[in-house]
Amino acid sequence: MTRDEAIIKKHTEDGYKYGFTTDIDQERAEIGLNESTIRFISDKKNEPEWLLDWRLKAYDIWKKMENPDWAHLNIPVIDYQSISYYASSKKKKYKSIDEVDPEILKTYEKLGIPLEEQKMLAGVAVDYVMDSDSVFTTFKEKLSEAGVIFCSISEAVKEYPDLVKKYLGSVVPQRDNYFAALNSAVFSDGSFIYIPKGVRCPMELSTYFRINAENTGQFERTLIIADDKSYVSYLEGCTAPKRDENQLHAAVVELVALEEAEIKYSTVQNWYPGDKDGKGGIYNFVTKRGICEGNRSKISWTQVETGSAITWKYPGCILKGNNSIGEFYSVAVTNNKQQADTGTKMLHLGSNTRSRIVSKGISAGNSSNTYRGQVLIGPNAENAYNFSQCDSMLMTDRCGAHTYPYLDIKNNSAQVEHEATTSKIGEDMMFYCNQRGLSDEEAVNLIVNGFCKEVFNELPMEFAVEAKKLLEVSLEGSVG
Amino acid sequence: MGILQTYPHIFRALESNLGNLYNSEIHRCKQEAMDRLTAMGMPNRKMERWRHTSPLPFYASELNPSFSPLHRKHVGIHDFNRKDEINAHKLVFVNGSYQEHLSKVYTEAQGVTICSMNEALTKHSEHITPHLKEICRNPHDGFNLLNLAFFGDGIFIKIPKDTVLERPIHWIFLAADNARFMINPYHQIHCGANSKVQIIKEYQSLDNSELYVNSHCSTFLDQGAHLEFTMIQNETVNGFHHLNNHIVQQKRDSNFKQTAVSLAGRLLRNQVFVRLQEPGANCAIQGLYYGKGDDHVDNRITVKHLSPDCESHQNFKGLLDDKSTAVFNGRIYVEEDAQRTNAFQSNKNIILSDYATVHSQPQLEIYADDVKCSHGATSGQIDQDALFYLVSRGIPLDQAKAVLNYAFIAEITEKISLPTIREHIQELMREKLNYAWDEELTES
Repeated sequence: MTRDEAIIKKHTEDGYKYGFTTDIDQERAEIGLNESTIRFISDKKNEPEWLLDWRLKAYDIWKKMENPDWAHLNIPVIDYQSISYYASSKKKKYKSIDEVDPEILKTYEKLGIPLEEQKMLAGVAVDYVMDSDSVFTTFKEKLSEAGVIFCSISEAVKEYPDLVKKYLGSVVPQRDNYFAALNSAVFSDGSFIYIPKGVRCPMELSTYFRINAENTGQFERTLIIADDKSYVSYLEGCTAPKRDENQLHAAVVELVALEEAEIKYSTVQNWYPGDKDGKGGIYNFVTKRGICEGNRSKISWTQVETGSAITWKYPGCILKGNNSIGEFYSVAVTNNKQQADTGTKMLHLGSNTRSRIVSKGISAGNSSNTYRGQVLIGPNAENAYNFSQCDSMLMTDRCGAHTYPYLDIKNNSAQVEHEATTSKIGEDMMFYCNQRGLSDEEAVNLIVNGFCKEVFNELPMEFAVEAKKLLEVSLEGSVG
Repeated sequence: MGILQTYPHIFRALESNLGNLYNSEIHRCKQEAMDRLTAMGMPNRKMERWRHTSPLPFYASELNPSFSPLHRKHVGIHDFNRKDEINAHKLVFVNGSYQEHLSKVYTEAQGVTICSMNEALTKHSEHITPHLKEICRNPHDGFNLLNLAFFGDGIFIKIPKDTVLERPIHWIFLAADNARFMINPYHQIHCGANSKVQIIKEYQSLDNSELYVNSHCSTFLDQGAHLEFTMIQNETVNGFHHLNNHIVQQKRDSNFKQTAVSLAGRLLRNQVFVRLQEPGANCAIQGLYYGKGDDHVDNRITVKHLSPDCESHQNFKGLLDDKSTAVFNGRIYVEEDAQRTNAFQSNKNIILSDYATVHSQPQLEIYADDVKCSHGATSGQIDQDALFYLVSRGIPLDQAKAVLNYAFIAEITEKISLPTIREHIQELMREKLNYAWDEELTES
């Protein structure tokens, strides 16, 4: 036991590797939230009148709503009036990499993603989001050749107002939930993607979100539209610097897949989880939802969640088109005092719709890891099919693993199956590995990676490598 | 909700009817429950626990709760028995009050008490008041407190240690006289160490009565005690609206088995809450339901593993026809130090019509690491291959369907250990499914 204790000590005292702060001049909104904050944000971004009205309407709705308390989370009271809702680097828009603030470049270097290298990497266009503004966009020309629009959402508001106006809030309306309403009122920036008819996006698209300024909640808004018979794969990954004060993150992601379109959305989330006593860390309240609007369309969510002090996230699919497919693959890892309540929503509305849920939860330390997922089969969803599998693994005897599935079936031709197991790493498995010369640490990594394999297989290659590495770091020495 | 404001008035008006219980410890418990209810309020659909089941039918203004009428004798009722009368202690309640002239309690071993709650309140109140106070302090919801404030008659069973009851206890709840009101029965069952008891609770409607039953049962199983509890809810369309609350506390190596057979009922909500307090305790909660018309069947099972080495099983199966709705909410809770827990949960449904609905929530809440827990839920239709197989062998389609549906729920009925009751339920099921049972065929 002493050896294990030593490993645990080593790990838990290991600081957060990616915790650092970049000093850049910042322009920020005054602390607090009221109508003038919203006007300030809108004004800063030179937004049209309709968007300001849309924001104000969301703010009105938000004021009347209450913080949700149904999740299996212990959320400290958040003072929404002590947060600054807008921060942006003063310098704007760079044509070449030399113009970028060297401090920012350093940040990315520390993250292990130097731009130079990224540029050379197999055709990945990275839309960096540092705090609230998109600073740099690469490969834009190549994309525009294919007709793909990939830009920040504030740019899209100016250049493609019709598209934004039509789809913004169509999947996650302002009144959807508390955090979505807040986001709708104060969203700062995010990515906008439009794939035209019949186009297969020539490269994997990705964005790195970073939370940087102190006391700044980041309110991202992402909108992806895949027109008829198109395909896009989008990656999102993030790490955040170390902060003692909790930081709020309330993002909204909307996906629209039209006839025969396919969207693949992958996330690796590694925000600062707080220290071993649960001090600090990011509060991550995200609303992600996609709609399979057209027939034979497909939306696939893949997520690897290892960071954040609190995660509240349910990427879902509305399967409206006939023969549409929704998928959800998730690995959620919690350690120390982390809390995660995550899962999915599969709403089957069209006939012959299919969905598949594979969720793997790993809890260690004193953490609490919850899967919460809804499968709803509407009365008109003939021959709908769902398969859900939720497995949990417990690493210590002081952590919690919970499963709350909600199956609501209103059609007699539906086939719905749910399975879940909860287990710990078996002593026999460990013994087998030890016997063959693997250390405890290596054995745990091997077993955990095997446990999550099904989900990692769904990730694009570069992400799969990163995710595997992340998992190892997150669980270092957490087994007793 | 205006009804909540009326409760205290009704309560005060009825207090004087308490007779010799007036100003007793029990009266004070009732008063406390009433006060707490006023502060806490009644449940509504916005609450997560009531999301799929509306408590509104219980709030109809004419359904004033009342203390169950004391010793009200029903003379007109004689012929409610089945032809295959079982050899059991028989306790009959009509519209919530105990009918001595219809009941039969045999003399059992020394120390066995089987009586009505009204009798127990005067003779054994020392066993009852502590538990009333306990519930009052930790109520599940408003209905719990409502029951406590207004409870009248019920059943009281106390089995001393090392006693095996010779006969099962048959507890019959009848609705008669075209009654339409709310009753709040309170029951208490104590099973001493190493005792063994079988209880059958049955609901029947004799006419178009509409009873709203908000019942509460507290059951205590001492070390090594063994209780099998079977509940049959088979009423006419109007019949009963049920909110059944059953709280079970189990000590070391005790064994509890409950089967809920819900064959008809406008609104049935069976809540079972089991606390496995000491190592080796195990429980099996199972049920089957068959919904027709507008039936609404809600099973909420919570099993708390508070101690290591316990085992629990939950198994519910249902057939849903017409516009019926089934809700299953099963929860396994494993406390931090409850290592080596085995807990299993399963809910399977077959939907027979286009308008039936199933809400299934098999939940796990686990804080220990050395556990084996699993849960599964399915919803689907009759297996088409199996149906084809039967039809291709000359069995008419409707019979083939009935055979498969019957086979589906047989897993539950087969586990009932008392043969007469098992057969009775199986017969009821066959009747419901229009299954032409061929005795000769099965015997050959």
